[in-house]
Amino acid sequence: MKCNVLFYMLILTFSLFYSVILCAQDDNIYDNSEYFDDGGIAASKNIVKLNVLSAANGDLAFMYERVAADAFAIEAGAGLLMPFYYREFPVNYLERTDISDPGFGYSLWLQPKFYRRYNAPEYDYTGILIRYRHYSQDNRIITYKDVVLNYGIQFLFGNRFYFNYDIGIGIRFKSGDGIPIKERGFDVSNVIIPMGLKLGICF
Amino acid sequence: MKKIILILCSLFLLSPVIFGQTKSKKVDIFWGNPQKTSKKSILDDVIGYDESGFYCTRLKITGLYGMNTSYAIEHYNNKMELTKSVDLELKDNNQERDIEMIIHYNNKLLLFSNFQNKKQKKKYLFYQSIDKETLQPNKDLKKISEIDYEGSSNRNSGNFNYSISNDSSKFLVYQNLPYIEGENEKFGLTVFDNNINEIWQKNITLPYNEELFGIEDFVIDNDGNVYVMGILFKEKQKFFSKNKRDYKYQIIRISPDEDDLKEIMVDLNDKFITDMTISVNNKSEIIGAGFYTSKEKAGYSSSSIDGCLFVRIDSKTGSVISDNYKEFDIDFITQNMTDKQKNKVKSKEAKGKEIEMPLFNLRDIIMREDGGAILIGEQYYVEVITSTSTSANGTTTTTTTYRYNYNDIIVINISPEGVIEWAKKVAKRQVSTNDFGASSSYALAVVKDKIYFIFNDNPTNLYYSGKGAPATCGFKKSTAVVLVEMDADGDQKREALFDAKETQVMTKPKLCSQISDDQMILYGMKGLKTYRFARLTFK
Repeated sequence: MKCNVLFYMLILTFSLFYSVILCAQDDNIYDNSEYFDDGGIAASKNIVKLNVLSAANGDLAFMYERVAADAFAIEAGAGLLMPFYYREFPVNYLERTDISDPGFGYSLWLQPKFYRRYNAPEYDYTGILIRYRHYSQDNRIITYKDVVLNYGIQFLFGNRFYFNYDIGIGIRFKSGDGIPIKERGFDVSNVIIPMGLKLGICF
Repeated sequence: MKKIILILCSLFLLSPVIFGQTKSKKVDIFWGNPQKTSKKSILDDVIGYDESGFYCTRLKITGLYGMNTSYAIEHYNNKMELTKSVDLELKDNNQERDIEMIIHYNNKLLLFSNFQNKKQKKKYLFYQSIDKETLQPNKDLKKISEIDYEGSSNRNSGNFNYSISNDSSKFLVYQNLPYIEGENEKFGLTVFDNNINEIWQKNITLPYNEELFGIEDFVIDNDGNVYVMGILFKEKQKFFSKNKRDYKYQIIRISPDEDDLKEIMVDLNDKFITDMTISVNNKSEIIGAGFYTSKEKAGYSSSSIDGCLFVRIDSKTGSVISDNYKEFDIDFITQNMTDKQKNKVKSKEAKGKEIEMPLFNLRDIIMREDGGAILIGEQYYVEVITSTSTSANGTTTTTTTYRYNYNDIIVINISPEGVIEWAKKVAKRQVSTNDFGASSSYALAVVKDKIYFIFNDNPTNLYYSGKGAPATCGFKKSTAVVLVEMDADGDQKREALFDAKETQVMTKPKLCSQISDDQMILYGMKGLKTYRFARLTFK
């Protein structure tokens, strides 16, 4: 019995001693979890986007943007070319167009984006857009390859959604089974000023 | 042949004169060994020292094309050797924080960081101590301030700024609240003791529209009263610009015990203040010092100054005790100018035209123990030179060169009564291109009743008599690091500390720092990878 009391006393003393130490440590450790709870916005590095303007032109394109560094992100995408084509600015001011009655086709997009003042993927950026389009028209294949220097702005609205618009200047390389395109060589329709408007969701 | 012999003899005779002066009687120099670092890192700041040595922060540029940046904290022992370097990883609850600053305060290393919570629309400021042994942040991360930016975009989320009282007993966090068009200027103030325990907090709304009032500076006195200095414009401004000269300087006193703000207008009647800074002297008076130009030039975009000003304000009542100004005379304006420049200015004066001094940037205000002050400015400007060349095959290339000019230092001594006693210039000409003036400007040390300026200079200026302009230091061939000692009367003595070739590094004066009453740490680099520290002990 005496031994038991001594044992309990010892345990109690130890418990008391360690609880004092632990409490003393707790004084300097603060629970900051509520300040960091942003629903994962800051940690999300991926955005999936739909290009609304290109869809209006007949290219239903979905993009994926991945943040690779503080100031750098890469955007890649693929699109379905619909059987209609609304001419893009400034080509829409020209009388002649290569695409008039297209069938289904596909497009590929790639754009490294360099964010200027704030960390990616928010606010103003400069990007180099490479876009490839594969049209089929009258049993002919017509391809457009665009190389564009882009300036854009992307910002978060709500807790998950992104709004992205950009404008650029670039060159279009055209090729096709039909002779007329190749024969024409370089003309004003090779200079392009594409605009983009994308809506996305981050995760 | 005779000429060659004469030149050789002159060089032989002159070289010991220059190098003979490298052993300064004013300072002891202890050089650390050259050390290697990654070329993708740059020294950020010397933050403090203790008996074990001193601490620095280093900015590291990582990733492809430097798209990631991170900070490291370093400790150097008294032999100037790197003992420990730790990359700071600011991750908690799986969230990364942005570093605000690291300071050595109350003999502790303190790390301040922020986290922008985009869901809550709040920006939080945290502080935590750093273990001096391991240089790792401790687990005592504590939120000490926050900015609520609900209704504003994530980009317009405000930011935090800091100030420490003269006796280091008070620490101020200034919360620059988000800009909201059409609303009155707002900011938050939180004052802490030297253990970072909150003493008081206030959110202030000024009776001025955001587009009318621009905050320039703020200080805290030993009693915890805060003084915010700003410029009040007559007309709304999109971007605050002093060019129009339609503004007045104003100091606002915020006290923990008073609900009302005390507004103090600094008005020199017929003069426009071009630049001003505020500080608190050891009598707890608010000191405002700066430069002015004539009001007659209102509406005229000029980058020149007519003189200097000094204002003393009673911190208890907020009343102006004295305001003084001193116009720079022609001799002072033309000091250290070439004869051609001098003649041009003098003929302008003879024709009765307005003469002014080029704009000086306010760099430091030193509080004298007797209640007086010393104001230090430096003439600094950047020239942008665009040149176009055409190659043999017809290709046209346009090149833009940025030329950084760091010229004379101006020192203005103000008596405890607020009278401007003297104004002196320290002659120097430093010109470099496309390097942001990395080796230019000066390092400053205040030891007892003397001020010391240390800067890179052309060695021929060691014999500069004050006539004409000093020789330009272009940092290319021989560069001497000079020490200019200025006494209480403004008399200066210039001597060579060492030759850049001798030490194998180019001194970076902007990164040199006075660490104690009589010691200063010098930092020099050779290329991007080799660096070297030196400790200067003033005798």
